[in-house]
Amino acid sequence: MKKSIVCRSLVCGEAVGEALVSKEPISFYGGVDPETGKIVEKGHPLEGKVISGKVLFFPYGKGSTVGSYVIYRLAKKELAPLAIVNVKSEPIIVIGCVLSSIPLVDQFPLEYFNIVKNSSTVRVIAKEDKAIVVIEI
Amino acid sequence: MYLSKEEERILSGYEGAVKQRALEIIVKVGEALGASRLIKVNKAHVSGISYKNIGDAGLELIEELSKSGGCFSVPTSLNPAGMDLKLWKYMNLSEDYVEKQLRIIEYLESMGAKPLLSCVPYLINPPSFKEQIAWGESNAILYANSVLGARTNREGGPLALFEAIAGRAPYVELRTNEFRKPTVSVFCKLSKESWFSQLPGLVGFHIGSMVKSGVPYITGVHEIFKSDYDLRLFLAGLGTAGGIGLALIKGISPEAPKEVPKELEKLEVDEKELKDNYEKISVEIEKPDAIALGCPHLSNKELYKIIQAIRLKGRAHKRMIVFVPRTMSNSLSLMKLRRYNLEIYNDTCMVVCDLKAMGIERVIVDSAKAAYYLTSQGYEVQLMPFNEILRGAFT
Repeated sequence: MKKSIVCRSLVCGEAVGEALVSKEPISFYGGVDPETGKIVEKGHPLEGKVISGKVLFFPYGKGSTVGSYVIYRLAKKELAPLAIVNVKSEPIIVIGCVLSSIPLVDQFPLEYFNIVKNSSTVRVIAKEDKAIVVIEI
Repeated sequence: MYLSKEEERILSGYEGAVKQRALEIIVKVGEALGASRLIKVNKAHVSGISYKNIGDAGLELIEELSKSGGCFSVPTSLNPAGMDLKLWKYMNLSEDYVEKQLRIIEYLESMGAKPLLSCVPYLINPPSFKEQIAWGESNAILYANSVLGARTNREGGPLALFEAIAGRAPYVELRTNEFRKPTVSVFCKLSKESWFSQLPGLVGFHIGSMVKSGVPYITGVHEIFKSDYDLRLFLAGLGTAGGIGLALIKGISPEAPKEVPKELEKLEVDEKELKDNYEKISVEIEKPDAIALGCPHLSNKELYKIIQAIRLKGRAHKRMIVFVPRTMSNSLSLMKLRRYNLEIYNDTCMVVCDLKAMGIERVIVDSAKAAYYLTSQGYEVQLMPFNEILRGAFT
């Protein structure tokens, strides 16, 4: 069954793809290899997974303000996520996605992080006024 | 979003194409974050300077802004680069890396930036209480907001760059009074006797990983800090493990409430969980290649402690690499200390330079921030208290 969740739209765009879900925050600088899109933070729940071409769910950003450049480098190499879904996006993520034209939404409820499954197909529609994230439940 | 006449003028291109583009991007970010207007900033500190970190994509972005005639409209300082600008020959870097790093600095200087190349702008040019600033660099943001009461969000590197050009930032989140209230309370019950209390960076890192986001009201840490350096290590750790731009620390932050506000979620620092986090970023190293200190950059106070140890005990037993701001101590004039196994660098740090090129793979640090980033970069890292490191290096 599909469920549509209304979120806040930060960077407009649409994407359909496989979900990659982390309940823990992500630091793009230090946490993600800008050359491969692989999560390299030791002990991170997504350690070893590649974020490229995925709809990436994580609650918050963390760490270095250079993270925006990691998002931008990934996009230049066509290794960026298809879209990013947060509970609360911070400026580091927002500017990275603005420069890289990656659809970004936040105010996705934390409790749904238990429901969205890795590899399930999700759709993100981020329009001017609001965003909708469609997940399988 | 409300825009002033002057801002509309900029947006219509009267003040040049680069300023127009910068403001367009700031408006876009501001609208995304729900800002109702922009606010003028007095100064900026731009992160994302090291070629190692920003790569060709970052270099090209900065190059384009500079070559299109962009310039900073407020005093703008820069975070550390990927090498010491005077001593890079000692860092064993490739020609390509050096050339590209020098170009990044050149472009930013052509736009009017001051090559401070340090992550402690708050020690060199501190903002005042309630001053609106546009700062990148997570530890500097935390210090400015939490210790000095200045106002900045966690501006991503390129956002601070565009804000420096436009002289404005979205008036939202930590720039406004209502977002500077505590969202969670953290009590640190570590006693002074606990070994972990000598690792303020780890305590900050641990609290950051617990709190994740929002504004923590923190009690019980002031008591374990022995110096401003401990506070800086703490904030650097906090900003590494969390998306936190302001901490209200009892006894330190001018805006911290006197009592724990009621109805706040209360968290406690648990020593066992602290140890778990320690093990994520530290391993025991039998034969370290070097000790690396200066994340955040050391002030002269800490540097003098090291030099004092040399005066008393002579040459260090371990290779010591220390990073300090160029405005405090000149690395070139301190070259003579190399005979004591002490290498002092300006303009860079262990996280954003290339330690491997310098022959270092196993390293001892006193900073949880450095431990986290270096571990992620594949180094073997051991985190130890500053004083213990000094004792070990000079026995």
